[in-house]
Amino acid sequence: MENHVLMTDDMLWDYADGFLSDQDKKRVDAYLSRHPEWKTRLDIVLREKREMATLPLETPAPGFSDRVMAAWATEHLAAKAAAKGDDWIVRIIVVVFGLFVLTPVVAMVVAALQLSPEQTTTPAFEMPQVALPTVPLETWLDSAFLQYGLVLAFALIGLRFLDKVLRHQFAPQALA
Amino acid sequence: MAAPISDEILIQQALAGQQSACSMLVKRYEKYVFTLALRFVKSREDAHEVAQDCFLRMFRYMADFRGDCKFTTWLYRIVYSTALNHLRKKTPEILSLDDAERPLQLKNEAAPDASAALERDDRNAALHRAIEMLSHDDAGIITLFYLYEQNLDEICQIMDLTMTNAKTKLCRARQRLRAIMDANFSTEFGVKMAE
Repeated sequence: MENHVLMTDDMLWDYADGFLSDQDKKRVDAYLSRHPEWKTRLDIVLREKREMATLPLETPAPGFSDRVMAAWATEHLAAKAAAKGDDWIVRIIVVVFGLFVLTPVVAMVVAALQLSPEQTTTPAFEMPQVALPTVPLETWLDSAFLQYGLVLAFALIGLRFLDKVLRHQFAPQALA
Repeated sequence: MAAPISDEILIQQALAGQQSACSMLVKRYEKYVFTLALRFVKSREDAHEVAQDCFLRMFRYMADFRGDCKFTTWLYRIVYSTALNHLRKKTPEILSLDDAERPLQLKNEAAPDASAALERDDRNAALHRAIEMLSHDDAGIITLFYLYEQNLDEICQIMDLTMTNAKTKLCRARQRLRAIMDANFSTEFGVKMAE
């Protein structure tokens, strides 16, 4: 059996690292029991292996972990802000508010800029004198247009809140 | 004494937004990540940069970790790819960390600090210095296998190698380490192995 073993350092390392098959391991064991000089070499290999396994780890500069956490906090905040901007519900809320709240304002401005027929003949350097249309506050608050708009906006805000709660609740389960 | 919180629980807490869990993960692995980064990039300054990038990437992609492998294997894979990207940026001609064709630095004059290690008569320091003199890939695979006790399967995942390739690389890395120790640290490692 011994004749089949061509002993080398690599084989010793493979033996020490557990890479040999059971059959090869038995052959090496038999060889080592007959050749004490190779047993000595194996002891050296095992010592070096042990030394490599117990080398001290390098220590990063003091405050390294704090710097990492600060960098992460900065990145996290930026990502959060960016995600908020990309959120479709937030966009819809903005559009709804725009439609229902800003539309009357825009309408008033447009009305103010409209010229009456006789004023079209006035010279360009004269400012047109037009009366601004006024809408009483009570009338505006009573309008179904505003009320439905507000209900829709609040419904979307609620939906967004629900979405956040569900994401928060189910995110850790992704690890399972 | 209370048992330390497992990595899995810390990851779940970190995913739920607990900053303290993130901080604990960094503190737990900062030395491992920094040491491995240093083995690859060879400079402490660059290793700090790579290690910080690793942790940021770890937080970014933590939700993608499904537990198919050990957390450390996943983390060391991030270290390896981050170090590789860092080296590519610094020296664009590097396409792989595998410097198998690179000639070994066996002469004493190539390692001026070697004499200091010898004077200290410290086998650990000499071994440490010898590993530093290895190429990026060799130092990395030696560190992963012997110091971090990652098995060959895990090393394959970390360094994106086949099993045969990983075994061959480890064997070559050992041979180069042996050659460096024989050439530069013969006082510490006096017994020369068979040719």
